[in-house]
Amino acid sequence: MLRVSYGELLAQLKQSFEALGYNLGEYDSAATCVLSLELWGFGGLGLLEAALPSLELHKQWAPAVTYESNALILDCFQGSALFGLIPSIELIYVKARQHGLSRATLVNCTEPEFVLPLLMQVCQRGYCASVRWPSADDPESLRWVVLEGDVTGVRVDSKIWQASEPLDETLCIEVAKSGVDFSPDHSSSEFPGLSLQGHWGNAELQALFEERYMSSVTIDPWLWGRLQDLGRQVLVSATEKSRSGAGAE
Amino acid sequence: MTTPITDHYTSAQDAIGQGVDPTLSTVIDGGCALTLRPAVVVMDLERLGTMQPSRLSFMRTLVRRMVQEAWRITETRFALDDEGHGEAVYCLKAGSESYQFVVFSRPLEDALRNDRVISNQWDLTMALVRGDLSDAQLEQLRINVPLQEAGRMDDNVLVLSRANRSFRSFDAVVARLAAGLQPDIERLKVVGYLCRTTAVYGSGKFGMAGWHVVKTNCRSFRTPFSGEMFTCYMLRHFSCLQVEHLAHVQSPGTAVTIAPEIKRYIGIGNATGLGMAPFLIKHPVLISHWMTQREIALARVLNQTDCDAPKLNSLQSMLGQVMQHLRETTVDAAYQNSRNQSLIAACLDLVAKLSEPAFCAGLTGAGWKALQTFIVARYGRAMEELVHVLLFELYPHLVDPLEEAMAADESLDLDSGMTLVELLVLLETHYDWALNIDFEDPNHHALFWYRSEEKMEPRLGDRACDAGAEREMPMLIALGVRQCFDAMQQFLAKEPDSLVIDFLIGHPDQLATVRRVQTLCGLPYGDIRGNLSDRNLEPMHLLRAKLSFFGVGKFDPKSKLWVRNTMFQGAPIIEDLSHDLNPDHWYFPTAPVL
Repeated sequence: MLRVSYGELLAQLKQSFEALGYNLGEYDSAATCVLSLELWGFGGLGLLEAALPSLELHKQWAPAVTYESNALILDCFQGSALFGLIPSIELIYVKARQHGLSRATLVNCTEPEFVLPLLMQVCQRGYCASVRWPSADDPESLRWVVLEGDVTGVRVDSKIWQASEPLDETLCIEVAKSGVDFSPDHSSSEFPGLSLQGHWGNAELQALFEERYMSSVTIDPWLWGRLQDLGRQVLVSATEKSRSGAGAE
Repeated sequence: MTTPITDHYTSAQDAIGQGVDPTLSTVIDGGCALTLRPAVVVMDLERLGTMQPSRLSFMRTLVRRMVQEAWRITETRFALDDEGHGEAVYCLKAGSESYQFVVFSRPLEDALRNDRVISNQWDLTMALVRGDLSDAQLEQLRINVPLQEAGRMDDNVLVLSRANRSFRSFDAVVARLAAGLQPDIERLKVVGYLCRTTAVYGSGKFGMAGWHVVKTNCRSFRTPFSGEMFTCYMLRHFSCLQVEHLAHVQSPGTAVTIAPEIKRYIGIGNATGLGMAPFLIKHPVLISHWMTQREIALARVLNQTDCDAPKLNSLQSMLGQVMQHLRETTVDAAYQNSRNQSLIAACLDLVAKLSEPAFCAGLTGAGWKALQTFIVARYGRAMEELVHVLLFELYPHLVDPLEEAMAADESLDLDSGMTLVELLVLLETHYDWALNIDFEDPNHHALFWYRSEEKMEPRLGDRACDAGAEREMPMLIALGVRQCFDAMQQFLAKEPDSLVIDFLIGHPDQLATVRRVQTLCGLPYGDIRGNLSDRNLEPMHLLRAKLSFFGVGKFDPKSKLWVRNTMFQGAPIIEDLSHDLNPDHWYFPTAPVL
């Protein structure tokens, strides 16, 4: 495994995503999302590795947004949540600001975890969020992350619940002003027989984040090489004339 | 205490309703409102090209810290052969912290000695490392540091750099020392250094420790670029020892060491090209922070009314020093020479004015603002910027504390719930300079910035004839604002009551511009007011602005696109650090008189 610095990886991710055809706002945000997930222990680099083949094949567009029963539905058309979701997440935030609470579901989405960093940014405006999604490998396993934040930062609580029957393959988001309790309602028919399988509290996750943030990031050399190969696509071939464009005498 | 900068136009509706002057910015400073110069003045590209190094420049603040905190630097290894090749290690003890400066000297053919960042071999390569240095670490550095960009560092390394011997001065100084003579002062006036660095890397590149780590864990280098500046300072020290070593090898019986007065006058050279320019665009919050501290310093100083005889005499004396410095500055570029001569003429004139009792009496009554008004009317902006930094020297207690506020959290905020009309007004108010550019005119959209495959070197291309425009870097803020504004107007025509988020859902490509505008409306010194695609663009203005924050002197443009300059000329040498000396005597350094 290769060790790279936080800043070095961020710069490389931005350049690689730029090479995929995304604009400044999109590639800045996507790079931050990958790194943020990695630092928080949600495996951002692994998710990126899974998403890369598809990302290289075709550009991801913003999801189609519809509004049904007081909830937003974001259809990603089998695309990754890495790109195109910032306006949609901002829309969820604006609706929470207007109505106190807003709900959204993300459907037909790969790597839905990438919405977490976007929601972290929203929560730093004094909001809290609940995000839950079934595991891609095990539809009876439900990941449930609660975020709460303010200008000083964000607090993260992550649990894995085991359900007694397969859950819908959607990612559900709720955003509200800070202070709302987003614990699962066990009496709800939505969560039949949930039992807690794993819990990573804020203190544990913050410690992990701090440790990773202040040291190097470990990355698979293959992925690093792939990102570098991609990034080279934004570079322009050198010629004698181009050298004069940098001031050669 | 200084609070973050606020701006009258943060609320567009207030601005519309009350007709507040959009050109002013205020901060709360020590409980009082302090009016700063407007961004339209401060961030004008041509004015940025007249900026001078000041007490707040990073080299100055570093040297102050080195003296005030009594840093101790000792040589722990000096293993050079008779050609001056080998390695040296210096240990810095700064309070409870320790660092190592490691330098490698390798043979280099004259034909391969090149200032360009795309070079692959250098006379000297070096690194600044935190903590102690084990044999295994030193071996890793031996392998990787000479490779520079092609090597891999670990996160104990803070800075990586390289340098070449000066063709004009290095051998000449060795020969003089070997003959028992001190270096030729007249030659040093022309080339005030022995070695010239061509790149200084930090901030996590090539595996090194990131800036956030340095800022948090390395107290001695907690302010921006202080590690990089220290590396150049140590290079200067090593370059003097290297010529002394070579002189001794050549003629052990007659060789002398460099006199301390001359050693202080020897700086370190630097060659800088377009690579510096993207930083100014990519870090608007940081740039705003730097400019704000400088403007706060200026506002504090201009508010003083104690223009008494001692202070006016000091100013006169400093102007004399500036003139001497400029007379000793040799540059090839005719336009830069002309600017230096104009500045000398203005200094001469102001010195004469300051000898007139009536003029001084007027200032004594009215304060420094009256002097500023006089300078603006009589000489123009280059002299104005020069006098500002000289006034800083008169009030160190008002200026120096601001050096601790040079770091910034660089995030850009998005307010998606703002009405689109409000955002439109913000654009019209704060980015009128951008909206006034006619991008339909090909001359205003002529150039593009791109990264070359050669070490990702930033270069400028001409859209009309150069390849690569489809891969241009996002450097054109003004054009982005124009495109965003047009898209917003079209959207508002259909959806007059819409919010920013409504617009972004349909125009996700405008996210970066919206975020930048919303953030920088509260940080008015963040964006440089110039069109970086204009056919008549002078990139040198960008380089000068950033280099002034570093604190370089002897600004010597070699073309429109790159410049040589001198760092640390006149600064205290290592032997001075343990003495109780004024660490700030070295602004606009002049040649020693022996």
